[in-house]
Amino acid sequence: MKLTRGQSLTLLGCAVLVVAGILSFFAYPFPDALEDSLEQHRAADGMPAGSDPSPSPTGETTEATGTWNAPFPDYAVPGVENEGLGGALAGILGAAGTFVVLLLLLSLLSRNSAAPSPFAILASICRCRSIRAAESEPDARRDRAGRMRRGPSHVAVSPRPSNTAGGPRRRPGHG
Amino acid sequence: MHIPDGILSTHVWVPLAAGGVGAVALAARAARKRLAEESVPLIGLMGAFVFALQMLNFPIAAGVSDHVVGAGLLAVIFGPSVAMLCMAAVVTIQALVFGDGGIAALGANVVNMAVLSTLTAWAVYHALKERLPNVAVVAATLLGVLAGAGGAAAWVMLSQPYGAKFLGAMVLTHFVSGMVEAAVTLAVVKTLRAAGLVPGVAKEVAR
Repeated sequence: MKLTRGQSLTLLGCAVLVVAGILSFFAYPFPDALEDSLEQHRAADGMPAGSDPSPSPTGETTEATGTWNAPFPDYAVPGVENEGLGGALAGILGAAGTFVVLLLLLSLLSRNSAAPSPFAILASICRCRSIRAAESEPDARRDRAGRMRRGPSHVAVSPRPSNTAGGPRRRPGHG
Repeated sequence: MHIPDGILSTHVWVPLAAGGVGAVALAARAARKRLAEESVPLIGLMGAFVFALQMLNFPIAAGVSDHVVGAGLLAVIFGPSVAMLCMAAVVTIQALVFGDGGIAALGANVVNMAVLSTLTAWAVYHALKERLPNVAVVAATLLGVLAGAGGAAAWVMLSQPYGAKFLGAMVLTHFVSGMVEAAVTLAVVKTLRAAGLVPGVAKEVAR
């Protein structure tokens, strides 16, 4: 039986969910090789394992805490007591987040968009602010430099012919 | 293989952060030239797959685990520039959202996993794929993991007074986990090719 590309991609998506949401329950809950090597050398320095590292002889080390608080530290979801369940939730969230981030990033980077795709539409939703600005001034559509100046700089990285962008054109006042 | 904060010296992590940003920018520029929009969903799914795989720590010794990196897998199926972008996205999300790997050390971790691992794996695969397609995948993955681990060990040793013993432990443990990852990568690549999601070696060579 030969699967279509869409079916294969759907199966791959299911595989991601199974790995992140189910197999992650069975992860070996000990420090990884790098963390373990670091711990052992801290211990060899006469420092109790897990304490702050010795200050470097060659320069200041960065602070271990206080720079940034990750919302899901160590793949735990605040409010979810069960560690396995929290890890599974964090895994699904992280995998979904990675998917969305890459989709947006690569849709903006990819140029040869032959047909409208859901991903071009997603990208165009991000761009709709600059498109609206462009449509409210007919001259601005031709003046790409002007459009780029008005649009948010982080989404205007890829000027491309407006017909091949693929997304639905938003009329002012809609959406 | 994620370096936490509190390990690297300022004079080590600052240049690495700059190098990481520069490398990702170059990868984005290179990817832009060859990225077809129809391949974007697959790339996004494979990035998510690598994120999920990295959560599956497996035992490599009593009380010591490790996880796959995924750089070899992505480099084999997508080439270096797209693989670098995927790995950089995964490592950045891990640091910012899940506290896996430090914030100051993020550049170092991107350099290790998204640059050193990925480029090494791709170079090895590229050199061997025509004569020994399966060996190429295995060797690329293993050497990619070792390159990343070697980078991590180097940055730590430039910051801390750890000697050859640390390097030895890093290489040995990552050799074991690299072999596991090589088997996983080969199985995944074969499955993706059988499903027709990525071109086989013959087609790839002809391109």
